[in-house]
Amino acid sequence: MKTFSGRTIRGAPARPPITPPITAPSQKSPARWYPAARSQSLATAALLALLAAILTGHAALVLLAAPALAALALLPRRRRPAELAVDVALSGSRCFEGEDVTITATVRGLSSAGDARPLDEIVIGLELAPQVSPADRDPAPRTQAFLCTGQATARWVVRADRWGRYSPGTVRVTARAGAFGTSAAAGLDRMQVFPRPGRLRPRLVPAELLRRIGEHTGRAVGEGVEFAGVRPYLPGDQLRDVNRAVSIRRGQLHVNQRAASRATDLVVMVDAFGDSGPVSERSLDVAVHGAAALVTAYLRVSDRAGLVVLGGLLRWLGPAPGDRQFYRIAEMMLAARYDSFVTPDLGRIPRTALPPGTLVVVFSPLLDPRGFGAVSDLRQRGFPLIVVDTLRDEPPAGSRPDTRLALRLWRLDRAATRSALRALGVPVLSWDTGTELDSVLAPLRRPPPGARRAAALAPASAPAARS
Amino acid sequence: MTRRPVSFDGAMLIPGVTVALGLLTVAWPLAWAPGWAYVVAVAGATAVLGAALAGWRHGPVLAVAAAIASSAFSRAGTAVLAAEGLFILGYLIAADAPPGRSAGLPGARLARWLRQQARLVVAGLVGSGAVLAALALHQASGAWLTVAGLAAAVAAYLIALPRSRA
Repeated sequence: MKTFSGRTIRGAPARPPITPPITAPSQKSPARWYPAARSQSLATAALLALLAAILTGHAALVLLAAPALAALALLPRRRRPAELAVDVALSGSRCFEGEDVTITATVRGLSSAGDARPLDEIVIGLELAPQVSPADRDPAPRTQAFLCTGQATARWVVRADRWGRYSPGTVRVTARAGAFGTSAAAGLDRMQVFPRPGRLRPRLVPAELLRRIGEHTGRAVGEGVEFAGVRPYLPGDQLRDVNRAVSIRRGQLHVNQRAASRATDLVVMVDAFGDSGPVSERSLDVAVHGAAALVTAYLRVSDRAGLVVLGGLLRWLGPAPGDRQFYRIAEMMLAARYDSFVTPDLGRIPRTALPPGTLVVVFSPLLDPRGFGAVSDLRQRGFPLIVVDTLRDEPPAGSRPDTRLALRLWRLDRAATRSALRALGVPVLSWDTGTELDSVLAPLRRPPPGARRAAALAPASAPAARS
Repeated sequence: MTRRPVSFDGAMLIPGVTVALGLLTVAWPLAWAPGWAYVVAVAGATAVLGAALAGWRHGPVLAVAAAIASSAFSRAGTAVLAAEGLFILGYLIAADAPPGRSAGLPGARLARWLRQQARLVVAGLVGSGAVLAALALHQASGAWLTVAGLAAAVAAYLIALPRSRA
């Protein structure tokens, strides 16, 4: 699939039809002129030399001031523009993590009548936001200077390093006309950076699939492609289904049976509870990337996917198919963090947002009891549920015995939480650094029903996998 | 009519020249200065390096102040002071050079910027020559003349720089 910049990301949804560039309205502000840095330094040096000459009575010290004074006197006299117009534009309003965005800044000196007026020097600098870095292929320096012009254009290619909705930076302009200078700043508009979905195969499905045609192999016999068994021929069976080897061996016509291909619904739940801080941010980062990977994988095979964000204000998006749904989910995830002390009431989620039988994957650091409560509530309502633990940090283990004891108690508390969830029938998976989500979910995969009928005896709530 | 914009790319050359000129400005009067001037010179050299490496805005002015202080209490002659005045001018112009491209060799664009600065250097040479000529003719001194000169210098500074940066 193509991304916004034309590069290919495997498994990423297709580019939406409209990704408009952001062009901020031209900022025309009356220029406030002040003595330029060169004028100030020359004048200060001349004054100091003259003061030294007067105070010491050493007339030859005027020689230190004379060149600076002469240069000040001969600084070019240029008519200063009344306005400095700064236009900034982004090449696109949306992109994925790791994609390049071009920032263009155009500066013009304008007279009060609106005509272009030349400047001696225009320096255009870019201050990047912490989530953005210069692109590898961009040779342009962060600050660019232009001489003797009324209009200057600077371009930078930057890379969005982190998902979110933020402004990539600020453009700062300094202009000089003769002995005077002026400055202006223009903030870039916010852009949406979607999390880059990792590669994942949608092999995790509930035991009971929906009665909708899809790409997952169901337990029921149907019109799919997976072999499900052999049975004696009945009138109405297709001749192409006849199994010749078995028919010859048994002396009676037998036909192959095929498993039905069914679709499934997936709802990803992101636990965004917790105090803001680096640990919480990392956990949310892991959760958002995992949710993006899961949603992309399931939407790619025509399943329906939805999202529920647990974070004070309960927000949800009912399952729906298609690429458009990915972007709706991604946009909701961009605003996942919402600090609040409110306990979410899952009963408020309508049936359309959490249809019965939906596979629910919860990404949670298991730190906030409200998240635990939500998981218990869902389990009691009979949803097949998986919890992916997104916490990758531990409290620092100090050298003192009491801090080590505190760490051990903290670990025991987390183990108790996991144990309580398992007692409810909810598998809890740890997602460690450097591991792909596909590997994390691997323990829950089971062979297809045709290969092992024992799977049919498994609890209806537990998720199963079809390869 | 607006001329074609010229992007400046002499950043590889200018910082080296700036540091060299700054250190020369600070060190030049030391040969004729008293011992304590070396301490001032060290402070001035630090300001030069701070301005060049860390982008310290007030570094050049502080370095020039250190050089003037060393010169004021030195036994340097008029020729030495005239050269020091030109070094100060050259350093302040170089320190104000716009930041350029970090890649690419300085070429026509650098030459154009240098041509723009040449008129200021010529003006400095003319100014130094005029003062040298005046000093060669007659020197007068007096208390009222001192006070008047001091007041004129401060007034000129305040008139030339009426407003500060907002």
